[in-house]
Amino acid sequence: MVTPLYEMSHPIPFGPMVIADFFLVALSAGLLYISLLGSVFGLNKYESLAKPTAIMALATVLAGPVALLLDLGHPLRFLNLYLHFNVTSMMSWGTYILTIYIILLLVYTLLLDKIVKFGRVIGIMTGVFALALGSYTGLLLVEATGRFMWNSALIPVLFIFTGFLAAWGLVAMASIWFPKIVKIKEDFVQTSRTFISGLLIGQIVLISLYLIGLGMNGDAGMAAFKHLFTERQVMFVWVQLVGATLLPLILVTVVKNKHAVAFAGLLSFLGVLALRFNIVLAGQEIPQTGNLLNQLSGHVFDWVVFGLAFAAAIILITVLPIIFNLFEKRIVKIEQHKISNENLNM
Amino acid sequence: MSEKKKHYGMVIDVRRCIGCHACTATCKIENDVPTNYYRSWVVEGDKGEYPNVSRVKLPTLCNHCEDAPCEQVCPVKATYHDENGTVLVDPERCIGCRYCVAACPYDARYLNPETGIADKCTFCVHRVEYGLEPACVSTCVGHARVFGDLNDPNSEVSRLLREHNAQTLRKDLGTKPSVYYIGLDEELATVNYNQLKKGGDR
Repeated sequence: MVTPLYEMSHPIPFGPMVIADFFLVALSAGLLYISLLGSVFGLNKYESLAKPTAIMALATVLAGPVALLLDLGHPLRFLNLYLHFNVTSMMSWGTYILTIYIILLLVYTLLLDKIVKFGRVIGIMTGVFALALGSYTGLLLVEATGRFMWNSALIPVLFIFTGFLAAWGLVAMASIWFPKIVKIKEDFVQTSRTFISGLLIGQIVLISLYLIGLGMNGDAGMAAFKHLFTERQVMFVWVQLVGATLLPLILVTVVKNKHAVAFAGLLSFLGVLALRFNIVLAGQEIPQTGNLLNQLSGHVFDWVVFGLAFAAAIILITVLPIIFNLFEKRIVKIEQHKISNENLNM
Repeated sequence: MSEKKKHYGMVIDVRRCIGCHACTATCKIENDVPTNYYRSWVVEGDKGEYPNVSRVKLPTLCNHCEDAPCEQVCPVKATYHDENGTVLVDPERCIGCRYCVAACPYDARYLNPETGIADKCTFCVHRVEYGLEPACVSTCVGHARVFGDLNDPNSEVSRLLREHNAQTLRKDLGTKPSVYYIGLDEELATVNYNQLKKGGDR
């Protein structure tokens, strides 16, 4: 047996700013899918959600990458991401997926009120890119093959799936507590209850499968399994599993009160964020060399940007509906002006 | 007949390492490595139980892998192999995203807080191009580190690899490292998952 005398821990490279981006872009993909339910998949029940969720998707996808940009050692060199494409790098693919997704989402949101054939095609295309966006953050982790906690095919699935859960959590909160701000006119309490409970059960299944797979992956996997239940016990067991998965599941299934549904939405939302923290950070805490757990540097700047990314998302969620409203009014005015001019000429 | 391309590599005979950490210190001085960061370091441990105890060491640095995960994941192709097979970072192109740091299975990279770019061992390319050896090699008092062209059958590294059963780190990942070890203690070279503990503040 070797007793280590001199070894070193290494700083964790992916911190809160990266996690904020991973969470917000997957949330955007989830919100878009809710939007597509009514606009593209033809489910009339969800039609009134199409516009508010599309706008929220735009808000979150604009806020996320800002955190990622500020995390770069050289933020002003981000253009290199477009100029030097590396076909084997998931981050390279992610840059283009994200850019095309934002453009498509903007066009889709603008065309939403007059969803014609072309708009539907844009909606489908945006949906495809949303799927790519949701999975790329997971695939980005999978590509780091040396970190066995990340090297699981379930990670991208978990990230897409939980993005959808966080999106429903946000919709439940927004539609019950802030319907005027997000312009959701109908009552989605029962729908939110159904979706959140179903998605929470799905999340439990996926996390269980992930943990079983991890535990079966030799000494390293078992160590990671133990790590989640010991060193990360507070964040994983108490925050993620108990507080943000089991508690909201009980709330939506037992308590018949709309505020309980909204609160369950908030908890589910936070649970998905906790899941990102646990997977991204725990995957780096387990050392690849030596026996010392790696540590987060804990710079204040990282946490400030993390908070700012969420603040930016909230501000955009509040402001974007007003901007889109003004834009639509302007379009209507132009159209009315055109019609009156045509009538005068006749 | 065309001359075979050079492929620089290092052979570390850990039986010769005395654990003086001069390689660690000289590397920091030579390459101006910031405080709390290292391009090369030595892990040490005690093997066995009293009275049968021996000190085992593991000098560590970038493995300059042929199939380097850091090169694969770099989103801007800032990490590349130079004409001598050495893995380098283009300081003008690197955006400091840390993806290579996360992907390196040897924990050999870090983001330099002073320059904002990914940093690691370069085999002292600035010395090698002038015919000198990497700083850690020239300073090693036990001559444990040997540097040279792996493609040259007459080089000392090739001779050592022919004569000894040299090993590489984390062979299972298939990264094909250019750093070889003679007398490697397998137990020290692999993470003991039952002995994981918290490290000190960085």
